[in-house]
Amino acid sequence: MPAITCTSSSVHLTGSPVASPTTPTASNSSESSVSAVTAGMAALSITPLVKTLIVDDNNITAKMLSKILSKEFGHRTTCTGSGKEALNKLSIETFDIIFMDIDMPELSGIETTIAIHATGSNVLEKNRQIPIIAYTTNPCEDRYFEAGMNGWVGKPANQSTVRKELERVYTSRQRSSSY
Amino acid sequence: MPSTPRVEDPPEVGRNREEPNDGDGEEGYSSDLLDHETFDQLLEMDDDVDHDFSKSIVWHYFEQAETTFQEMDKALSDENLVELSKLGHFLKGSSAAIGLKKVKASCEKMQHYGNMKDETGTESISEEDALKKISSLLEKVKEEYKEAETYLKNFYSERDDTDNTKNTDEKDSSPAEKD
Repeated sequence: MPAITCTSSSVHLTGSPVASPTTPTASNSSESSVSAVTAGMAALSITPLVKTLIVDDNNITAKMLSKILSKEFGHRTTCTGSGKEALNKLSIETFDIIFMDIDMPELSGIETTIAIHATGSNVLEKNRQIPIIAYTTNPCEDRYFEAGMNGWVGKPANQSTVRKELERVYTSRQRSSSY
Repeated sequence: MPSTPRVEDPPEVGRNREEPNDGDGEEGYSSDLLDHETFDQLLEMDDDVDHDFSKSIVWHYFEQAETTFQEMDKALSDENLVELSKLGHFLKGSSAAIGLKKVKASCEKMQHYGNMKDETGTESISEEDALKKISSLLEKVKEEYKEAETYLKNFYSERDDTDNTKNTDEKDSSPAEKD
């Protein structure tokens, strides 16, 4: 059973552009994947190392998600109000995870996700590999995953639903990277 | 030293969810208007007794709603159903984030009507029918919003009064300084 590599103060996600710059990432335990996820999530809640990009044209829902992620999980969050702004941001700064609204003017969340993964775009190579979680009032739809997203959190978000989805996405990525 | 006579505490709005709700009185009224679980989650994001975060979100929502209603008025006069659907969807998100049930439900209907669907989003309706339905719905949602705005402003006003009373009580009951 694959385990997330973790230390007491950081989580290393295979393929993540941000492994702690100052903390060793070597694993020192052989935990089950469930307890490894829990330990990983606990580590996430006490380290400010996870950089999250929130893409949402609605300031209110963006701020609320930002508050949950920073207060409950210790993320460092950046909010952008459009897909275009997100692509610009992703071309100059690395992140660990993206929460993406779906219905946005000009460039939808789906179109933005496709653009992130498209070859020839200006998005930094490391940012093409990070998980993208749909963040929307719409129900979960196959087209999000078909476009390259990795998860879904319904609006309004709460700590519990965000935690569950973060755990699921991290576990899923860890498993797929070990094959 | 005799204790300061206790003034009857104002009802803790949204805090008595465990009590049976027979639909009468303050509790029944507010449960119809507000999803207390969602609103409580917003309140839990506050860091201090000043309720800065939740209050800022709610006040921002008021501004957003007013602006969106103006845009809806314009879109309706332009008979722009696509825009009306987008605006309905937009305001639905932030209404849901705060827990405003009625406003959220009406915004969802507007989203469907703007897509020339019935209120459930399943059956098709004509453009004329959609515009007619949106016209009356827009008046309804504005009333629902006003109701919610009044309720929320009263909530924070009572909260601020309670906090001020507590602060005064604490000052009065602190030991007098001796020479």
